[in-house]
Amino acid sequence: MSGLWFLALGYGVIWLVLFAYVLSLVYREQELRREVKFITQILKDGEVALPTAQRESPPAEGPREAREPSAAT
Amino acid sequence: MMKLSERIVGLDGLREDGVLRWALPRVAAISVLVGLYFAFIFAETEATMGDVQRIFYFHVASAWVAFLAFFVVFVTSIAYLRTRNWQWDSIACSAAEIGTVFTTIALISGSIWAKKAWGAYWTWDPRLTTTLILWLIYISYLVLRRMVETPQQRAAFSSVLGIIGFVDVPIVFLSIRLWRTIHPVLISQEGMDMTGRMGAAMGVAVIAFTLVFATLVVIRVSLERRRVELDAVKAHLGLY
Repeated sequence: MSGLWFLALGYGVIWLVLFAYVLSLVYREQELRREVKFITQILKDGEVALPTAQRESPPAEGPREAREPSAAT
Repeated sequence: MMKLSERIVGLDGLREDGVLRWALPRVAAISVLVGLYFAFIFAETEATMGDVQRIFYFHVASAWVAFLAFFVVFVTSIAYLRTRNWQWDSIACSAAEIGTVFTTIALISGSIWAKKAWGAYWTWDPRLTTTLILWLIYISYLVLRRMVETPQQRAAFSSVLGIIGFVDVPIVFLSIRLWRTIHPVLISQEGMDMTGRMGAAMGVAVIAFTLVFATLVVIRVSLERRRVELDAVKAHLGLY
């Protein structure tokens, strides 16, 4: 096989792996949006208030710092 | 009081579309195109290997980005263990994932180049072997994160692995100087073993892939932070 064939194969693999990773990010982003939409639908049935005191306690599924950015928005 | 519906508004990603998320992908894409121009047209054809040598530019750039990513994992893992701030762990796990992707690219593109240059896709050369070990270390890092369920434990264990795993990076870099190897030594005491145009093409490819890395980190960290936040909201609603 010629050098050009290996060159095409090499660059093909580089872009294929990168493209596959970007696609996986897009998929995970869409999955997250779907979940947000699902939770928004649940909340439409009845607003659930989150008291400040509760927000400051450590979350069940993640450390406190993880919750601070959106709590401030 | 903050309503949960208000709290999850930021999770759809709309508020995260800042200048970084707008500008970085565009700059990275343009620089990759410039890098391809330099690699395929600007740089002269190598005398011995011919056109297949052009794999080298983005192969080296991939290896550089992998080293950079694992350095980020190393620094942010130390920062997490010192501060216990969740943001550091988000950056560390994002960089580890992206670093593993670029190590995969470096290994595969190197193997394809090796087939033409050495006649075999793989040899147990010190550079190739230590790079494979590096890849396995960070695959273990990602597997570990999936296996540990408690977030604090997950962050702490993976931080320790992120710090210890980085020890292999200087070994990979020095392997071609410490042991007998058939892998080319690009930078030696005599300078760079390539022409000025080839050096320029390599530099542009390194800059281009560094920008791609920065873009992916911004996107991946944003995703990770929103994922953690959403998990906290779901736990509050009792959806687990």
